[in-house]
Amino acid sequence: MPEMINQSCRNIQKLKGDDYYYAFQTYEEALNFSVENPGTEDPLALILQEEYIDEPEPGKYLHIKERRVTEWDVEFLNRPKRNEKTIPDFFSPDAPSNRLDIVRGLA
Amino acid sequence: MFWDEKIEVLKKKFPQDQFRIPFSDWSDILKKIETKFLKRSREYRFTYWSEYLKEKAPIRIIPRQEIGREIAKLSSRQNYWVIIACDNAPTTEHLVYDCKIDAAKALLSIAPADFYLGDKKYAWLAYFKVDCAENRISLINAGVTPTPFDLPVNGVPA
Repeated sequence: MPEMINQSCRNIQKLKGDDYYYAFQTYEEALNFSVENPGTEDPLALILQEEYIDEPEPGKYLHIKERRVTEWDVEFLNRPKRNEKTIPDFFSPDAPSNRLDIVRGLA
Repeated sequence: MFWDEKIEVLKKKFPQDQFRIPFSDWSDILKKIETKFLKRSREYRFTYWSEYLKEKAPIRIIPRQEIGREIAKLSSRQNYWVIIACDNAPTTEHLVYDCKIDAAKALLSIAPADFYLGDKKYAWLAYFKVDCAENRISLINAGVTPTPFDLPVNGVPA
């Protein structure tokens, strides 16, 4: 289960500037905390990626082969789990015009 | 999150009268802006506006985090063209959105580079040159008509 975080949460852990976060083991815990504490944002999921698709500017995609931890909207966890074909399919010349359908599991 | 996904989040967050992607008329909108505010002898259209603006009248430089205070000078009853530069390179393209003030603030919070705010009747265009290294933004009037951002701040003329 991905670790959940809340941003902009006062009196918890300072991140940088005015941002604060608190890590939870489960979405339910993070959501409860978010609901009960005014000023918090919706929980985000922390995802460890071994390789990923970067978008340095809108619509321009790069295949980056290095490990990173990134933040996802929780609803993205409903998408099909990515596999070894996801990124090659995304960059394939035969990819659909809306390449994002591949990561959404729609193509 | 990819840019298109961020835009989809905004589409869910704001009704269409507050945030709209001009799918069918985007090229006409950009052409009208280019005709009025950009120099004509350009080989490529819809790219790298910052180097081809007819006018570049500095308004002020602000810390990046104060952009919301500038956007608040716009009328909450009107819509504006918000034009996002994909990056600050010579090949950069521009994406146009039709926004009310709250949607504009949300959109600009995810803008990757420079951006423009313009009157929907093309009376004025403001260029926001983003300096990521210094974390500040230069406000520039790209036309001859005063923009809402030319208004005095706390009684002190811009």
